[in-house]
Amino acid sequence: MSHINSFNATNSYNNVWNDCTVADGRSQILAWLSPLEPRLRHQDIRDRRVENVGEWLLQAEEFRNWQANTGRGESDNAALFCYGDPGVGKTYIR
Amino acid sequence: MQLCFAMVIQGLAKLTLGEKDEARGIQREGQVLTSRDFSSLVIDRLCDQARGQNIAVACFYFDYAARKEQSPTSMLGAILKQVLGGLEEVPREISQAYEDQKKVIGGRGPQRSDIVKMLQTTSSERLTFICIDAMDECVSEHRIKILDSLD
Repeated sequence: MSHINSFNATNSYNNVWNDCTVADGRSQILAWLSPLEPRLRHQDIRDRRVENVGEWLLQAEEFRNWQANTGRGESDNAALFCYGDPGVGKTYIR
Repeated sequence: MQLCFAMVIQGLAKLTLGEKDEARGIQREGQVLTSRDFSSLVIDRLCDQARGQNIAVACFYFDYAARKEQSPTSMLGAILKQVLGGLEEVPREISQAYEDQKKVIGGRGPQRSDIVKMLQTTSSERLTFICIDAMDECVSEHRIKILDSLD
């Protein structure tokens, strides 16, 4: 009886331990792929964004076509390239 | 793969509305928008669309001040990381590559060609949106490599 109990205890310990390794393994792999965390940067930028500003961009035909024309593989619309004159750099719209 | 590059806001306004003045009229007075704001809007919109669907969204913000850390390999790795984030399991090919490099003393970072291959495999299985902000803040020789890799 005591043997069975101790077996169960070990078994559940192993399960927990295995769960931890799986989770750690995943984050270790992701950390190995890149040390950069653009999602944190995104969070920071969106937190400082003024609400409802720039909505017109999302309504623009070019953007909507690009967003909707999805899953068509090698279509010409795969890339939406929003460009500016070289050297314009930090340009603001007021 | 669907790619969205947001570079400079002046170009954006020209592309989407034809006239900058039009854009100006829509904005409330005193509000200043940068390309970062636009990119983050696009990313949020794509994330809303992706919710509950088999769609991956990845973003990247180039920053001139971080140009040393933002190498093509680490940038593409960061994209791949986000694409994998939505999957229940890391694909075997990738976990295997991770295990293999551990056998080398001190470990070994992934090569750009490996990351590109992994990215191609994962993005061929589901619709993948990649939004890159401020390509103009990326070192030009890096930019060529990155665009080439995402082609």
